[in-house]
Amino acid sequence: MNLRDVLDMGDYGVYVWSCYGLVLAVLVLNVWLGRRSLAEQVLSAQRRLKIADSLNSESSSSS
Amino acid sequence: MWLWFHKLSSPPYAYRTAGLVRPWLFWPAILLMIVGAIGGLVLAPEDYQQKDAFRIIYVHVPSASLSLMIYVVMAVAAAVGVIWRIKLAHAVAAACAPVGAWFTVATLATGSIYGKPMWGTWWEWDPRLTSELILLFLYLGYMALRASFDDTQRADRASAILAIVGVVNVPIVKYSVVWWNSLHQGPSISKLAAPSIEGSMLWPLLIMMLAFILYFGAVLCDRLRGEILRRERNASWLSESLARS
Amino acid sequence: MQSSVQTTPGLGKILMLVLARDLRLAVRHWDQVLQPLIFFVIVTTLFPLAISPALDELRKISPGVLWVAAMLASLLALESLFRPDVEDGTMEQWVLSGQPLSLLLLAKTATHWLLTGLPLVLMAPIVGTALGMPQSVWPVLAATLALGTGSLSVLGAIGAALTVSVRRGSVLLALLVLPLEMPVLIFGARAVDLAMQGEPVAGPLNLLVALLLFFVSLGPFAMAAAMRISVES
Repeated sequence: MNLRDVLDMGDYGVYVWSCYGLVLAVLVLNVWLGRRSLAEQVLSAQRRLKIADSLNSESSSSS
Repeated sequence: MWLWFHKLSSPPYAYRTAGLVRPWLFWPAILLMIVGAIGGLVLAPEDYQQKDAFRIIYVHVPSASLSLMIYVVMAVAAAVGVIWRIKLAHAVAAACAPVGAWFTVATLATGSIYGKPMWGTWWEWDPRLTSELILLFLYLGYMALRASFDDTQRADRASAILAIVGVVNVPIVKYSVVWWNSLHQGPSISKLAAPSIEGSMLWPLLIMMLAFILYFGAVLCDRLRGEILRRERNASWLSESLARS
Repeated sequence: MQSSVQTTPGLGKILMLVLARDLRLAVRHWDQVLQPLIFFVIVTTLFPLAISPALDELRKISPGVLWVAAMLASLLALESLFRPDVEDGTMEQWVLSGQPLSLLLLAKTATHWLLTGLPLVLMAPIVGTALGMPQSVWPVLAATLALGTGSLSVLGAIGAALTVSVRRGSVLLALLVLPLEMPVLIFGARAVDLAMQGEPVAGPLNLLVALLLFFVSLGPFAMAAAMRISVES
């Protein structure tokens, strides 16, 4: 099986490779989306904690 | 063992465990995908009828299986969340949805592309593609319902009911679509049937299936951790965990 | 002195009251009851306009057209199923009342069917004739629609309970409910089609009966669970 055969896939090359490419794109996309959603939530949680902390220190300093 | 399971349903423990487990799922998945792809594209012999086009099954079939499997996982998690009131289960369900939906899209797209050289048309209303399309609608409806509630708890419980109703309906949908299709085709030519598969063609498929499942586990870990953070508003364990990560 | 007056009426009596109340309200707002039915006729009319005035061509698609129009009309009618009661606080009372919510909601759904599903069953043969449907098919048409619209009402009620507290939730309702209703559409429309071709219809008809029984027995629990979530503040 040489490279030419692999690329041509017996005239079906376009179909086979676009399928594999498509699925690869979906897989990469989902990893990226998953990582991104986690990072967003981490940031948002850190922000919330910071606000909570500052409120706590305010109330403790004023009490 | 039961104790470990109980521990696992505690958010901080699950958060940490998912983070630790993820690379052990992700990298083996990548490796298996490479092996499976090489096996499917190069090593497996070409099919008698479909020639090299059949190699599409090595990505189409795992996508299809996963799209259905994830829906079931999602529905079971949602049911657990609603029956035993375990917040983590709801987080799992929420995490599953987008991934499952994308697999459904991949299945439809690859199924359509597969169809062009095989049947000559970009789309056919055959049972498998049609029920996959309906499954996509179910996923989209689930995500839309979730999004329409501001309160996470209500979103969790409402979408859980929808998921349970949906999963119960999946066999009904599949059966009705097969019946609907059989009215038109005399001899049952399953249009998207994988060619009669023999050993040398089968092993890359099994490897790809396993690869996709591990991949799903890895992505689920990431999304689950995000969902856990969203639900743990001001828990004290957060500051430690986040400082560490 | 012994009082034999019950302070709370029995469940059967309550269901009767629910039925009577909804029917009374419907009579008072009969124009609202009529609207989905008019919609049904209008949608059916769209198809000859869009496709062809030739009855031969319309006859072929008439089962499908009638069924899709019935599905859409029943979807529109769902707006008035729960929303008024949720908005004026009645539903909250029901949730808190301690009576089995699933049965109360099933009673409402049944009444709703009487007002929207049943008229469709009666109107369909007439509208079907306009599409070239032969008279011989009327019994099957009526049977499939009677059974089918029952299932559509139950599934629709589950969706309505889930989305009743969502602002502008009508499109969402359609997105949720239509995929679930597809099997009913398949069996119902195809049964009529088979009847038109002179084929036996026992298969799909039995399936429609099975689906109706299935949905009616389990659906109310989903409705009640969904309503509890929607109504809590």
